[in-house]
Amino acid sequence: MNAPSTLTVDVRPTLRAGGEPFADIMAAVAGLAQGQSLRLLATFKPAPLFAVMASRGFNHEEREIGGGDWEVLFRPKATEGAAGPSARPANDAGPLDTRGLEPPEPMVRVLHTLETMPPGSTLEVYTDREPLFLYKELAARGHSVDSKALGQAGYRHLIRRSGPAGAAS
Amino acid sequence: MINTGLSRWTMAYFAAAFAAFLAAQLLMALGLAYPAEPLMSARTLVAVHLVTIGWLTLLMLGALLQFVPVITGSAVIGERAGLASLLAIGVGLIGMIVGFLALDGTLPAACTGALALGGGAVVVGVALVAVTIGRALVAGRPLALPGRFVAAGLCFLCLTVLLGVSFALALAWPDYFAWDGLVVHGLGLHIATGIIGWFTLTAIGVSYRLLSMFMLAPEEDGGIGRWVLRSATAGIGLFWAGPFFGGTPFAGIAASGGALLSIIAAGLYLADMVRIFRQRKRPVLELNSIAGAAALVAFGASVLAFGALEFSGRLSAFVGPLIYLYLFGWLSGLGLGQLYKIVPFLTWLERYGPRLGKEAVPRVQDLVSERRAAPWFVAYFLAVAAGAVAGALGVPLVWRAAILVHLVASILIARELWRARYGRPAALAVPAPPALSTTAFPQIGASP
Repeated sequence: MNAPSTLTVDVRPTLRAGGEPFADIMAAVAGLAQGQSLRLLATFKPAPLFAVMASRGFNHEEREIGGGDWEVLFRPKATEGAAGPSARPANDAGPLDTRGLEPPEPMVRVLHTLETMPPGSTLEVYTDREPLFLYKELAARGHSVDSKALGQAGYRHLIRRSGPAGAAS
Repeated sequence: MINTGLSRWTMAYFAAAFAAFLAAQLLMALGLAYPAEPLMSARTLVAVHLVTIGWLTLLMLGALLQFVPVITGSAVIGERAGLASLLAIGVGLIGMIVGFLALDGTLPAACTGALALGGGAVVVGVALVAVTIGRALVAGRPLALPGRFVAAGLCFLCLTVLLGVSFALALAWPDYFAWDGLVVHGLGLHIATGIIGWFTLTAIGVSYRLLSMFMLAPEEDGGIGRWVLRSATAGIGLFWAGPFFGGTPFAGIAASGGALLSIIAAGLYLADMVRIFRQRKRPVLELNSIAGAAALVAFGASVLAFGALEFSGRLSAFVGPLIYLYLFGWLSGLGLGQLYKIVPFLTWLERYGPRLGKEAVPRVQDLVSERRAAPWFVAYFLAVAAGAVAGALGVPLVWRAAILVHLVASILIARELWRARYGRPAALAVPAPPALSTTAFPQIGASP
C-alpha cells in the first residue's frame, strides 16, 4: 500500500486571530486516510496535542521553524488493525490530560470522550483546577467521579460512566 | 459531590448594573451632573451613586454570587437572597436619588426622608447579600488569595454603606442626626473605604483568578498578592485611625501613611499583573484580556497621578478628574472587559452544557464577534483617556463630549452582550461540522 501524501494543516491564522484550532485539527485527523501523516503549523509548541495524537496512534516530530512558529509532523505508528484505534471498544480510558487548556475546553473534551465510551467504563482525567461546572454536568448525567487534588499538578479524576446500555456511540 | 451550578440572579444584577451605568453617563454628558455641575452638588451625587451603587456594586455583587461558589467549591448561593437583595438595593438607590433631588429643591423638601429610607434599604440589601456570600467564604476556608480579597472587600463594603447611611440620616434629618465628626472626616473615609476597600480589593481578587485563568497564566502563587492585601488593608486602617487623633501630629502622619501604603499595594499588584501577562501561555490575547490591560494602564496612571498630587498638596484641585479616571478607566473598564467574557461563558454553559458530547454545539467564541466589538472597546478607553485629560486641563465641554463618546461605546458594548446572550450563534446556522461530532474526538487511551 502506498502511503498517501502528507496533509498540511496551518492553524497559525486561527491562533493569531485568537481562535481555538483544536476542533479543526481533530476534523483533519478524522479525515486522514489510512497511513496518511499530518503536518501541523502552529504559533507555539502544541504539547497538549501530542498526548491526544499519541492515543490516536500517531508519533510526533516537532521543530521550531523561526518566528516562534512550530512545525509538527504526526506520523501513524506501525500498522494498526484495518479499522484503526478509534473503532475498538474503549473500556477503561485515559489519561485525558486537559491541563493547560482554556476553560471550557477541558469540560468539552471530557464530555465528548465520555459519550463515546460504553456504560460502566472509567475515564482518567487531569485538570488544572477543580472543574466545578463539569461536576454539575456529570451529576446531571448520572456519572460518578472521584477526584483527588495533586497540589501544583492540579487534580486527577476517575469518572465512571453510567447510563443505559448502548448509549455509547 | 459538590454541585456548583449557575447563579440564578447574576444576569439580572448585570442588566440592572448596566442600566445604571448608562443612566449615569447620560446625566454627565447632558450636563445634569459633574463636570457641568459642582462636584458636591446633589445632582452630581445622583450620578456618583448611580455609578458606585447602581453600576459597580451591583456588577461586583452579581459577579460574586457566581464567582464565590466557584473559588470556594461550595454549592450555588443566593437562590432567594440574591433577588431580595437586588430589589432592596435597586429600590433603595431610587429612594436615595429622590432624596438627593429633594435636597437641592428639584423635588419637594418633604421627599428628603427618601434619602435615609433609601440608604436604609441599600444597607439591608447589602447586608443580605454580604451574609450570603460571607457564609460561602467562611465555609470555603482556607481561602485562596482571590477569596481573601473578596472577604476583605465585603467587610469594607459594609463599612462604606454604614457610613453612607449615617450621612443620609444627617442630611435628611439634621435636627436629630448632626454628627460634627462625621461631617468633617466621614466623607473622605466613605470615599476611601468604598473605592479602595470595596471596589479595588474585590476587583483585584477577581482579576487574579479570571485573568490568569483565561490567559492560561500560572495561577497566582499568592506571594506578592498577600502583601497587596496586607498593605492596602493597613492603609485603609490608617485612614480610619487618623480622625481619632484629630489635632495631633499623628492625624497627618496617618493620612500620609495610609496614602503611601495604598500606593505600595497598587504598585505590587501592578507588578504581579505584569508577571501574569508575561507568563501567559496563550500567545494571542482575547478582547477581555486586552480590555483588562487597558484598565490596568488606567489604574497605574490614576495611582501615579494620585501619588504626585497627594504629596505635592494639589490633590483637591484635580480630585474630580482623578476619581473619574479611576471609576471609568480602571473599575468600569475592567468590568466591561470581564463582562464580555463572563456573559458569553455563562450563557454557553447554561445553553449548551447539557448537550455537550451529544450533539453539535457552538464554541464559546462563536457567541461573540471580537472583530465587531473591539472598536467599541477602543472608543471607550480612548474617550475616557481624553475625558480625564480634558478634565485635568479644565475644559469641561470637551470632557462632556468625551463622556458622550464613551456613553455611545457602552451602549454598543451592551448590544454585543445582548447578542451573546440572546442572539443566534453563526455556527448553528450551518449543519453540524464533523469537528464537533463525537467521532472527531479521540478515543483516549485506547492504544494497545
